[in-house]
Amino acid sequence: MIQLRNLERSYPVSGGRSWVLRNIKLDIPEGDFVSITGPSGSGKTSLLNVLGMMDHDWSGEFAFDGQKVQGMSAKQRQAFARDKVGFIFQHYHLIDDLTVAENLDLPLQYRDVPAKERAARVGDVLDRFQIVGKKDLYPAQLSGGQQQLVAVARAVIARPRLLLADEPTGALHSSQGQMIMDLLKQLNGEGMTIVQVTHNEDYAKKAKRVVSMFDGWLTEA
Amino acid sequence: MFWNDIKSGMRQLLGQPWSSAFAIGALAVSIGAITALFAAANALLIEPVGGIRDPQRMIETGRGKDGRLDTISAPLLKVFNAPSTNIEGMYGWTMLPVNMTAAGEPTRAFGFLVSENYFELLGVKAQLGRVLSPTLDGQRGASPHAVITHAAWRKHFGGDPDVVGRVVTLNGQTFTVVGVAERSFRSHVSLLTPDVYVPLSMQRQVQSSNGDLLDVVGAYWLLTGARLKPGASLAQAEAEMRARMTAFERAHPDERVEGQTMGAAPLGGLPADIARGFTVFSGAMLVLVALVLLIACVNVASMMLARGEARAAELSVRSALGAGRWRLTRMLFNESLLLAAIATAFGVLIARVLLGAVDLGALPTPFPVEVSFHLGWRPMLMSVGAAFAAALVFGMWPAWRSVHARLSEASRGVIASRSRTREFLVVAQVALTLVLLVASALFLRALDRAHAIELGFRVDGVYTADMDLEPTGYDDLRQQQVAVDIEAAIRAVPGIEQASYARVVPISGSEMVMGELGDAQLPEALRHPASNVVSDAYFDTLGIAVQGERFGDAHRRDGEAVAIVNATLAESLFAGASPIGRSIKYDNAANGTLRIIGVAADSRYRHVGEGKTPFLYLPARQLNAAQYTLFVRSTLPQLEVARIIRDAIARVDANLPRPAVHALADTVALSLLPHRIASGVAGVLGMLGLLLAAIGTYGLIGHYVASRTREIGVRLSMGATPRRVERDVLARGLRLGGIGLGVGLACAVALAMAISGMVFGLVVGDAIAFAAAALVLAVAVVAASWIPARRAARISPMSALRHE
Repeated sequence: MIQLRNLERSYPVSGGRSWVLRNIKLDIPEGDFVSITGPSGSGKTSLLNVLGMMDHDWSGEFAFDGQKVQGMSAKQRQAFARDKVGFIFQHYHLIDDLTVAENLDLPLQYRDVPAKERAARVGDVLDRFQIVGKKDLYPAQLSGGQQQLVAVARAVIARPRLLLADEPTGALHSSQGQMIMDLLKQLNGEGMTIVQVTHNEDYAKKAKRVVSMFDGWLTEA
Repeated sequence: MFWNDIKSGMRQLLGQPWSSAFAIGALAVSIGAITALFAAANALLIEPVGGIRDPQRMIETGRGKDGRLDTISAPLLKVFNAPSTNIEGMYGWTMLPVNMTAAGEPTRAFGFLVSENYFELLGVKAQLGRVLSPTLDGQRGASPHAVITHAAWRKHFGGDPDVVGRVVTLNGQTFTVVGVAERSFRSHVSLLTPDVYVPLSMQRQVQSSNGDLLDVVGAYWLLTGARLKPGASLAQAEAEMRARMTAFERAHPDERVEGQTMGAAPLGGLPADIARGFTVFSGAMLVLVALVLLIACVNVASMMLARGEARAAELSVRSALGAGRWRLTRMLFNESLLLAAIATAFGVLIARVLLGAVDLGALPTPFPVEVSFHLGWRPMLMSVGAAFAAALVFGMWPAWRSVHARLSEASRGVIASRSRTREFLVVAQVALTLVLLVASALFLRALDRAHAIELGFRVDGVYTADMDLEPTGYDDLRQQQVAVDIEAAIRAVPGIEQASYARVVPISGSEMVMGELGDAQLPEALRHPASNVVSDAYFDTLGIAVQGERFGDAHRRDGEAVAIVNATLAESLFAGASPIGRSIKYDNAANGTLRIIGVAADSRYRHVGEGKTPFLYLPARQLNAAQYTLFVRSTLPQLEVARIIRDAIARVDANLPRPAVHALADTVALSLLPHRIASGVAGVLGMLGLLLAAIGTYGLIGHYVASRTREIGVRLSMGATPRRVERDVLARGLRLGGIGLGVGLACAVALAMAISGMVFGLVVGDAIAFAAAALVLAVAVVAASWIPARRAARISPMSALRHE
């Protein structure tokens, strides 16, 4: 599904450049569950941002479902990512002023899904994630684990081809983190392709394979 | 503790210099404007006129109806000065333009003709010599004594310590200076500073053309005032005066005017009739300035709220160290007081500059106008009060909210509430600004309408100059010849198109009624029509069309009395039939009737805004008068015309003073002064309010974008396009602006109804004014929202999600 070849990313610094991604080669078949590990500053999140097409300032080759992403304009990439990718963040990033249901509705609004269909899909997801009773609550009224649960639901409601998770358990305590990891495994079991960045070795092993990053270089574990 | 708060406040202000400077500037301009306006109102309306003893017992009196306090006759004044239980006495006065010769050339001066008890009742003492008194100055025709003001002593006599006993000539009569009034007293009317006071006993000598008026019951020419006895009330004095007037009218039934009675009002700096209008006018201006202050406060409150949020961590630490809620609130409020105090200091400076720029002496008024606006204790108190009120609005409430919010941070309700609060502030700003802009637009349109009014006479290229033949000592015939000769001398100069003279200058606010027309069945306005005495060329000079005949050589002084009526008077008297050739009873005509020889086109006579007014023109060649105004039409520059007029006067009679020359356009402009002040003040305030509202909206939307950077990043990562983000942010600003415009519209309608009668031409339902104001404000709100919206669209989701 995804092929990365000779992918590189750097920033100008005084005296030269700082490389955050060096000659990345990575294949992610459909249905895979990949954990990216590595120390802080190794380039894990940068790689995730490239995969999520939030970062456009890289060089190399990036193919997604056979389409050459490197040849797309920024606007084309945004539209492409909107159709293909879902994101889960370490700090949930729910919208504070919106209820749980409204947060779930947001990605569907941005994809111009008709209102009736949106309502149906929100209902389905609430039901599936067993958070119907919390649909009218605001994020500040939920625990960290519940917020991340809602964040995962929000990421998958638009039925993305690829789910990217940046330290999804980083802000949770162990039982909540375990719950989220179990959920990701379940989603992967249903065919969702997942790439997660994690510091936690145990959670990394929950994936089908682990790749490591160090100083911008990627190695398969 | 307070000092610590002040130090903390100074650091806060210096830490964000630009926003602090803006806040101080916005508040300072508003406080300065309020202070200046209040200082003017204080000088004219509130502050007791200087030099008057126990001013709270002084009242203004007069004859009239519906609260007007008009002139009375000298015999009636005598009646009121009979022993009374409620008043110590009543003084009478009238303005007296004089040709004064103190040393050297005759000069035009300004005097008051006053009853001999004037100074005694006002409690004014002399700095040198003595003031007028009933015992020493009451002998009719034999009391050639004058009291000069301190200012005149300096100006005309060089502050000569031996001025008492000096001889001066006033309107051709010799007077002796008996005293100099104390320095603190100018007159009992704030705006007027006469040079000289002359006793009523010398009325015939200084107003020879009017004849002896001291015994004429039907001559209403004296304005009056009185001093209440201790313990007496205004109502009691009024009742007593009315009873005396009723008895007087019973004794003189021919002079009774239906519906008129005596009235009284506390003596203020301005006559009651003018004070009423000025109070309403200045009140409206104060409301507009207060609106700007409120907008500035709302702006600053929004800024203080944002600062409070940014200091959440600091407030938490202070709380952890033991500071209670009230202590923290007081600290934040003290910082606001500091801001307000600095703004007040600058505001006072601004007020000084504004007041210093006012130069009433430059106005082309028929008498010199002078008033000193100073920042006394009342205006300063107003300044401090405004600052404190402002600090309460922009400081206390945000302080309380910041402290309260800190303690319930986790509550989603508080987060949303903070957002709603700032939105409310923007809505309030937009609404208030719309009210200001609508007021500005309404006043501007009123000014436009006033300018567009067809006056009915020519203004451009016409100049006026007062001509006073009183001092010449000439008899009536000689005076008339001198006037004719001056007119001819001016007309003969190349470059002068036409010259004439008349008693009354149109649109100067003056009105003259010369006599009674027709019989008692006629309505009051027709029975006593406003009149003017004009020379033959008057109509031509001012471009007033006349049907029938004009005044000319055929209408001799000893011949049949003739008149020209205006179209309104003609229509009212003769209901469509031509009045030319008809005669009508007129008690001031030689044989009791006037033959109408022509019909002049209607024009405006007293005010720009007046409706159709019946008017009567009488020929100068058939009437005696010593005081005229010259009208000269020319394309030459004003200075050249002034030189021509003065040279012509000097050639005809070197003893006549050289008059000041004014453009008729300036006189018309003076009549529109309320419009120009109102539209100018409202316009400036409107622009200031617009700037504040735009900055406020920009600040709020910008703050919204900055505080929601993370959220905007999330939305972009969820699939929102940059255009969608831009649209959402813009929509937020427009939604607030739309609500503000709606609320403001309702308030603006209420304001329009409140100010509708204030100036001529102001139309409550002026849709163009409302629409223009709303459009200008809408554009400002859109622009102020669009800039941060564009910024939001350019947010990189990647960096936004790192933003906390």
